[in-house]
Amino acid sequence: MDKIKSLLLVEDNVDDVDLTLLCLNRNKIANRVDVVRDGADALDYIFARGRHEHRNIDDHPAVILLDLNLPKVSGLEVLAAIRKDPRTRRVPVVIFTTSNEERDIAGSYDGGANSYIRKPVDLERFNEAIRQLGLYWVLLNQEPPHA
Amino acid sequence: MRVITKLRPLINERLQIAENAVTTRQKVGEQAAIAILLRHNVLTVINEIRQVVGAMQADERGLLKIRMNRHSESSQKLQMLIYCGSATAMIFLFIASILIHQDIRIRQHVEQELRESQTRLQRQADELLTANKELESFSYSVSHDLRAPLRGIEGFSQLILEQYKDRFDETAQGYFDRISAAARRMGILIDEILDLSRITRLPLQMQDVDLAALARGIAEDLQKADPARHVEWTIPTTLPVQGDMTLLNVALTNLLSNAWKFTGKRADAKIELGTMLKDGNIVYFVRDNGAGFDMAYVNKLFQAFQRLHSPAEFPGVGIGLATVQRVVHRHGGRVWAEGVVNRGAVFYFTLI
Repeated sequence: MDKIKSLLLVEDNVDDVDLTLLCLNRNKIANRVDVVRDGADALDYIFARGRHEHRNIDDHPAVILLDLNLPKVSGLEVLAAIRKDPRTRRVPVVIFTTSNEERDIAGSYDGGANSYIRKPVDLERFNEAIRQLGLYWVLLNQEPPHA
Repeated sequence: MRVITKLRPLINERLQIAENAVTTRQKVGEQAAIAILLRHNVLTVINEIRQVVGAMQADERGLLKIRMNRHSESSQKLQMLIYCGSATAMIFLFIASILIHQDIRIRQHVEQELRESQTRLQRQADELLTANKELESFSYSVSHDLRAPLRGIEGFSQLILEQYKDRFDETAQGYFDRISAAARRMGILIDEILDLSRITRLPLQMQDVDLAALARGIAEDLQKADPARHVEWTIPTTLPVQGDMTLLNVALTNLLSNAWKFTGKRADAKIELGTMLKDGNIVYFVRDNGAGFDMAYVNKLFQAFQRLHSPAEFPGVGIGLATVQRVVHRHGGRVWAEGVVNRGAVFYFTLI
């Protein structure tokens, strides 16, 4: 039960992946971070199928950092699939994206996102966002019981 | 008439004889009555009467003939009249049909033009809708796709500075600083463009707005952000208008922040929100006694990304007044400015 939970990062931009990993590392957030690069791969990971079929579906990540603009399946579609399935519907999902379009923010909350964070351009603020995000979702937040 | 006057004594005479004969016949007897009739030569009288009646009949026939002739003449006239009438009617009908035909042609032409202009309008509306959608998806992609690489540029130049600082001399370090500063600035620009496009896209929500209350809130925020500065604010107790609260707040924030910014180098800074009447319309204004501007460049003032001061002098990206203009235009108003270098500026706007 005390097993350290992993984080799932759904991000297609390799720069953002590296910057996110670097900032997590800087802020001593030592959880394992699994990275998937498109929406379809994210769904395979979450529902333990395809190349992720060896995974235990009940082994939920502490939080899913989900970009919106993703290849194949969009972030909002991934979110909808997570919320629709009783096995995954309580998993915390934080939208972590560049967009601050109102329809994206509204769509994310309507789709059941737990939080919406806009990635800042400058590294200092990006680092601060990751620090707070890690602190909150990994240390502070009480994880949901299994459905 | 003549014949009738001749006829009357004859008939009277004949009646007299007959009367005598009848009376005699009653009183004396049949032989005496016959004698009276013979004595008076009844047959001659009867013949005369016949002649007169014959003459009358002849007269009558003559008259009938004349009447017949007259009748045929008048019926000929009537016929002529009918022909003429018919011809006139035909001409009128012909003219009317030409006119109707012309009217129909004009109407058809107008209808055709109307249809064409409707089609044109529909096409333009469709194009506008498409353009609007394209603009929306463009601004979406600007927001998302153009901004993302900036994080790479900014982030990795910062990382080089942090992690490999000792490998670069000061000049090179300065260059990396400039790369990340430029990326940050571009990020701000993109955000400003998006804000500007949002102001154009969002539907207006008209309501009662107190510009004075908005202004006091903005002034308070500005003062809080820089408590060391002293500015003399003049804001009326109340200034009710009809408009979109959010957009008016954006516009007023830009105007008052500008006034705040450009009076930054004055010890006796004054900023005023007020109204005046011009051609019967209420004009709102924001006046300051700051850096002002050269009226030669007044036309550039409201264009996006046009600046009359260097960023070193007064910071900014040059989108504030373009935003103000859009907000005012969306309210059906007008905005203009007057300025004198180092004396101050006045920004006027109307709302309808």
